[in-house]
Amino acid sequence: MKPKLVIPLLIGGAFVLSACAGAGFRTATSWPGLSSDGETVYMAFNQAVYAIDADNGNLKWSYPAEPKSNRTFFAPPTVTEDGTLYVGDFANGIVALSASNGAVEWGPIQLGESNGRIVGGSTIAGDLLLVPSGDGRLYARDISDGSAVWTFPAEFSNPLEESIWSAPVVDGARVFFTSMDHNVYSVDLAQGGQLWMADRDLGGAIADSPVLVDSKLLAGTFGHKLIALDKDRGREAWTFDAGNWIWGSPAVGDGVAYFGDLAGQLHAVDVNSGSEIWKETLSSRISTSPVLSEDRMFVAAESGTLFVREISTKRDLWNVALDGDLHTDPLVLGDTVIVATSGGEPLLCAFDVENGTERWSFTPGGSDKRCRSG
Amino acid sequence: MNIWDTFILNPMINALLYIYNFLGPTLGLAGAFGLAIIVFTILIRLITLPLTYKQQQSTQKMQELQQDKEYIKIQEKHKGNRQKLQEEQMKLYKKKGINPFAGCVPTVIQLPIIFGLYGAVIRALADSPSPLLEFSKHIYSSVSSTIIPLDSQFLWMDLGLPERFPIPGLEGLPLVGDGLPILAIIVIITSYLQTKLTTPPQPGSQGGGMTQMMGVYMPLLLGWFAYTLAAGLALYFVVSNVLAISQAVIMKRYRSAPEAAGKKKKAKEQPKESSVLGILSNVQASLTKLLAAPSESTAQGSNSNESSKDQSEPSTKKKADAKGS
Repeated sequence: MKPKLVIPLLIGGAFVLSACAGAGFRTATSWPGLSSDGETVYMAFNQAVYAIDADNGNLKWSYPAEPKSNRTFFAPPTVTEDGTLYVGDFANGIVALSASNGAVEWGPIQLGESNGRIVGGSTIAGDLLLVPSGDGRLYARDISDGSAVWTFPAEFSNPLEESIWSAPVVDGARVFFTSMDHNVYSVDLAQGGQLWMADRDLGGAIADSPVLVDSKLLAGTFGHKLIALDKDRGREAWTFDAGNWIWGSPAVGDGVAYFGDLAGQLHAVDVNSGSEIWKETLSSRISTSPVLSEDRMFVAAESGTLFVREISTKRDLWNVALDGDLHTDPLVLGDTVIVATSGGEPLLCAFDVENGTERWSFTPGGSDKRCRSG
Repeated sequence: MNIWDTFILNPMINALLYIYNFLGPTLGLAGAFGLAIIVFTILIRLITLPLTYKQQQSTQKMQELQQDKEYIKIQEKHKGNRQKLQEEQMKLYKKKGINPFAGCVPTVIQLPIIFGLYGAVIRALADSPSPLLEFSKHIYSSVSSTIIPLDSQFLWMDLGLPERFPIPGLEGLPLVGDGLPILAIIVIITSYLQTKLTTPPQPGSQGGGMTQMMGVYMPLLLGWFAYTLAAGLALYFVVSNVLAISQAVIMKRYRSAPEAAGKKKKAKEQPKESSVLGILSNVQASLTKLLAAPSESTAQGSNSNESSKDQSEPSTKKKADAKGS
């Protein structure tokens, strides 16, 4: 080997090593965040927020006009009845937009340190906008102008040890939320004071929102457990061992909690007792929450397949395999189901809920690809 | 899963997780992921010890060879004919059972480890949904998922980000505005020392040119990695380099001890087991020597004052010969 070859080889090695993880260190990214007001689908993905006509998939508007690489959006936008859209970004900022045209109503406002990412959607409770942040705080802001109302934990105390990645749930005067620190918290809606936290470490990080069912809060953990907590005091009512990481929230219907795990198992568990009703193994990991609509259950599996089942009979109604992974919960709007893909094209696909016929697709910048390849 | 993931990346990720689980959640130590990287590095050095031992033996043989009469004769005889000199040198290496490229072996061994560890650290410290979900694919079912997410803090560092030591007053300055890259500087220094101690000198040969270039560019390259990539990788470089330097110094001490014993009766009384102080003094002596005369030190013993004095004579003579010619 000639000595002169050493330098190019070393530089080549450096290039390969640097290329292994993009920026050379860990990168922050997520999958598309979806929401809708019935007429428009709102999607936060990468450097923009898109408003797409739910009937035909046409782009209505996008925000911002000039996307920036240091400001990315992945949290599901929150839309109000009076036509305002609230979107958090990965630099710990929140902005209020007009749902009709994307004009800025206020913001963006920086909530905390810019390394605190907003992963989960915000929740509206009266005049408050509750924003979960990756910096370990839950921010309550006035929806009219974004001014601070309270922060949990309070500004003068340390934040939670880990991020809050999911939208909080509001029940009357109480707010419930989960954290990656293995816990579930309840805080007072008016003041932001802590009411309780679970009576023990729940044994695993909790990535998605808790689900309120009567007097119980259900939360799935990375520690393989679906845990039911008493909503008044945070005491454990029952625990169900799924056998693998549970990423998404359960979907509850007729006293049954349906959820998937990263081993690809779909579980049905009795909400009252925590006992298993049935389980089924799908062909792929499931990190999303199932969506229930009438007698149908929509399950987006990581491999890119959308499964549609009849709940009462567990019968397959139809499936569709898409290009890319599925990490975003499906969105059902009347007779249309919309799925967002990760790393595939088209980015959004809409199907008839009855038979899976493709209705429209959307990809920023356009694409000739169809959702159904066959 | 591909071959790389199955045989390199996943074992590394899970080894780190096992160690992390033991040090952090079980023993309750702070900065467990940084400690896990240190323990992991020590284990890697132990596993590769037979290889590095042979390589360092070869290095020492090369150093001794340079004082060999036959070697010096070849150098003088073929001074004007580089190609012939190389041929004769290679013949001599073969005759003496020396591999002149052995110095590259540790570097070559390190490459998959560096790549694997880099991938493992980046993945293990995922702090947003997509990377964490991807990371979950690499974790063995026997690893407790209760340790997720991992604590990425170690001393002043976030191990998933490039290391900078914050110093008030530096804000706004180019390169150091975010703080001083202490680990990157330590990586450059220790890589240089390690290369000098473990790479055989091969004056006049093609391999020698390459070795010299490696001695300069490798520390700079590793320093650049440490400056731009995750601090966890820089921590690996530092620990690995320090262990390699210690190993080289200890080996030199043990190897030169019998020689010194043959020359000096006093050396017979020297204890076989080296004390910690003895090792430290050897490290100090080696480093002082390297810093004082980097180009010379690799050709000389660095064990004790006496042995280095003994070995410095031929080198001085060689220099004088070179001047004379």
